[in-house]
Amino acid sequence: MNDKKLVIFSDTFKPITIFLMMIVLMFILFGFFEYDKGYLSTRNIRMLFTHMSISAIAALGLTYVVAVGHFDMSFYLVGCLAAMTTSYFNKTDLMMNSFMLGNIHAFVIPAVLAGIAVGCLWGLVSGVAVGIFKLDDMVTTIGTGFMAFGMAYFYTKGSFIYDNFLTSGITEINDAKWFAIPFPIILMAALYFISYLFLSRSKHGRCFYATGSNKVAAIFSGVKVKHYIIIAFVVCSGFTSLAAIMTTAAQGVGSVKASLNFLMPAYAAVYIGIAVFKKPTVIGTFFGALFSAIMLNGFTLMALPFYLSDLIIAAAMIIAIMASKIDWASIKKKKSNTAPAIHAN
Amino acid sequence: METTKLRMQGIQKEFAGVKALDGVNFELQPGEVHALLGINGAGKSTLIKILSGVYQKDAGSIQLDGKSIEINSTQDAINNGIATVYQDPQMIPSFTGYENIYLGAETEKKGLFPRINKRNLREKAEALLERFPVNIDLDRTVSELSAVEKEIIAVLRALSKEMTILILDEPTSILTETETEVLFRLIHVLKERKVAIIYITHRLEEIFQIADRLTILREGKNVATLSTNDDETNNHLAVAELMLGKKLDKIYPEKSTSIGDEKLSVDNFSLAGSFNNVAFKVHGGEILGIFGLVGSGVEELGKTLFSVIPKTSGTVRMNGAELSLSSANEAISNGIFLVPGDRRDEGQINDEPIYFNVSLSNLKRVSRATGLIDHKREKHCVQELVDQVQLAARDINQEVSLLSGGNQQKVVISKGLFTESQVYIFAEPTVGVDVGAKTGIYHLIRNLAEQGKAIIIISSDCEEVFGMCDQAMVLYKGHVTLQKSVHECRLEEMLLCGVTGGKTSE
Ligand SMILES: Nc1ncnc2c1ncn2[C@@H]1O[C@H](COP(=O)(O)OP(=O)(O)OP(=O)(O)O)[C@@H](O)[C@H]1O
Ligand SMILES: [Mg+2]
Repeated sequence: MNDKKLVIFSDTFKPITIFLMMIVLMFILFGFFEYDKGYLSTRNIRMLFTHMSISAIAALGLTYVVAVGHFDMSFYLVGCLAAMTTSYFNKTDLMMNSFMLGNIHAFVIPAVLAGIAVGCLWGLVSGVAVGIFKLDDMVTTIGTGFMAFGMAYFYTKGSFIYDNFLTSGITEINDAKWFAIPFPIILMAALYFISYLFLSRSKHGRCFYATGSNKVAAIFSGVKVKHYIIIAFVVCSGFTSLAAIMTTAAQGVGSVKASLNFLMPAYAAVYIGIAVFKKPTVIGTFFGALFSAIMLNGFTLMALPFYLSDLIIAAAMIIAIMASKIDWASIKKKKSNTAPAIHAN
Repeated sequence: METTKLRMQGIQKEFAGVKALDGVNFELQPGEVHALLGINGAGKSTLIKILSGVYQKDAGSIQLDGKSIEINSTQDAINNGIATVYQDPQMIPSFTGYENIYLGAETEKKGLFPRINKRNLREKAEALLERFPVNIDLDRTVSELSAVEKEIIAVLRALSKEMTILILDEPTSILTETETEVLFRLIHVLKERKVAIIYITHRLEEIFQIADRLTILREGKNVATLSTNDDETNNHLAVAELMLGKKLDKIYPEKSTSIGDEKLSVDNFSLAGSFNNVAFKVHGGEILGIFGLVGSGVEELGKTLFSVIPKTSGTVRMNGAELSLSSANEAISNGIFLVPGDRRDEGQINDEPIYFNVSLSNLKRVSRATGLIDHKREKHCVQELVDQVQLAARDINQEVSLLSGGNQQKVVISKGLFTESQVYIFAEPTVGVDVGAKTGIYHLIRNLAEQGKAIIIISSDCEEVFGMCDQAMVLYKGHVTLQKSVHECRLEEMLLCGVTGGKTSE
């Protein structure tokens, strides 16, 4: 009776083993070189996960879009708009006059929600353009993204917002801890868990993947393809907005460039996941993000300049994409039985 | 005797533990049409893909004109004069027909930017069309073309090459009578030019029309090579039994005896540019067959009933209540399901496993109140269906793209069965399905009818409609040219109404 479960288990088990091996290897490597700098200390590992949580949440959103077979080039720019929106609300007088919830002003909550809502709205625009009007995803989202980025400048003409950051309690998003676990890690864990259930275990998840794999067949199967495309774009922008607000809280300043560097790490995480799991999955993206985070953290301790770590992670992404194209089975047998490509040539 | 054109010996090929070919021998004389037969998954496509360089053999030898050759790429095959029309021709959807025909062979000029002379290509394509005179607009992009038109492009593409061997992998499973006839004429012309032809089909009657010899494969091994002139082989049943390795039951099941209440009633149903004023009723337990050639509007009729194409006018009533459907999703939730004819594009999610495909149209049935999928129940239900249709697969976790053509069709049918609908529309239900499985599918459909479902079979195979259905309807250029009980009509009458509109040509 349980053999089906077993098979599903082993299907996901193999890729996870690959990832775990890679990660253990990296820990050993960095641990060896950086032992004196406390690489393997609890403090560093907690920091690693806290840093990771921001890019991991953005990558998780992107996973939805890639699952329905599209690209989103707008999310990192939409995040900037969301961060500025929240910062702007954080600055208003309303903020300091609202009552307190513990050590945060109650108005922080609507401020954060406003930022996420603006982000979702932008995702909705992209989703409708791509899903219903069938516009090209790349060009459309570059357009909607830069529109959002332009809008982000409206609040302050682009200058930083410092007001109330130290007093409103918004920094608690980054600083709060529950049972010694930093709040960003809890947020990340919660969103990953829910997304895992939603994408990999629920009937809706099937519909996302069916849409991404063969739209026409999905429509013939009764899948509401347009809905799922729109949801994917909304989730992507929404999650990135949250991640951008988390960055803002961590930096303690509202900046129009809050999430400007999210693009590459998010794609890297998703595609490293695809390389191992063969399709965009929640678990794959998580390990992809963890993989990049470990490298970044290691390089930071080694005092490598940031552009070098960007370079290395981007290279890892390219290698991952190449690796996913290789048919390992055929290499093992030293014979190529690759799937028929285009037969014409 | 002329020298043997091609001799393949001891060909072996294994896919991830599955022996697709196990020491197959195959010979071809110049100017011969050699049919390659076998049930779904017998290894026919694999054998010809080895010959055309898509796959590399694990063992065995290939001799061309008495000389040993190695074929390591599709280019090698083309250089050796081997042209192929694949079972699932791959094309670039955004390119036009012309561009796809000459893909990768646009110009003889070398260099980094060889100039492509579009006019030249067009003239060459038109010359091709003279040799294979079919009605097709090559200026349209492939994404706009129907399955038949794509198949025609694939044939034209093969013809555009210099060749001494032509491989045709199930061309007629998609083509209809009209194009098939043109194709057969073309085969005769090529034969006279000493081109050797390998012909794969599941339509046994064709073999006796055009083939000189036939080779039967079963489970990757040779069963027999026969000449079609021998009396004893000149018989579908004998060949079918060799393919199956067992006695064949009757192909078509008994017709219905008990007809229930009216299920679906369609009035005044039209789609501008495709079909006009179609009206019919289907009762529970009854099978309505709609026969029509490509372009007659039958394909669109099925899709419009299923609401993937919005109708222009007309009413659809289910159990007496009028339905207004605006999507396939609504059609399914109202108990109508279409098993589409073009399974690769419309029927299946290729890179997902069997269970994913089968349950996709009715996920509610296997999910809990929370929306999470109950894997145990899903496995159970899918396994039951897969056994019922006798799917030949390793297990239900296998990717559907790795199944043979006929088994893919069974997956799509299982998906339909999984929805437990009231009205089933089957479009071309046995395209590319072997005789054994075909019988299985026919019995399955009849079984559904006996459970009280209303069934519509849409087909460009007149015999299928005649053999399977209780009521028949024939469409010609969008108009109904015949509509009556199958008991009261003859096959020839139906064929005539479908091919010429019912007017005997003087
Ligand atoms: N790329 C592949 N990977 C794994 N297995 C494959 C692959 N291609 C074919 N097979 C398997 O090899 C066997 C032979 O398949 P093949 O496509 O040659 O059958 P066929 O005789 O052409 O059948 P059909 O009439 O249905 O087209 C089948 O069991 C099939 O599942
Ligand atoms: Mg085949």
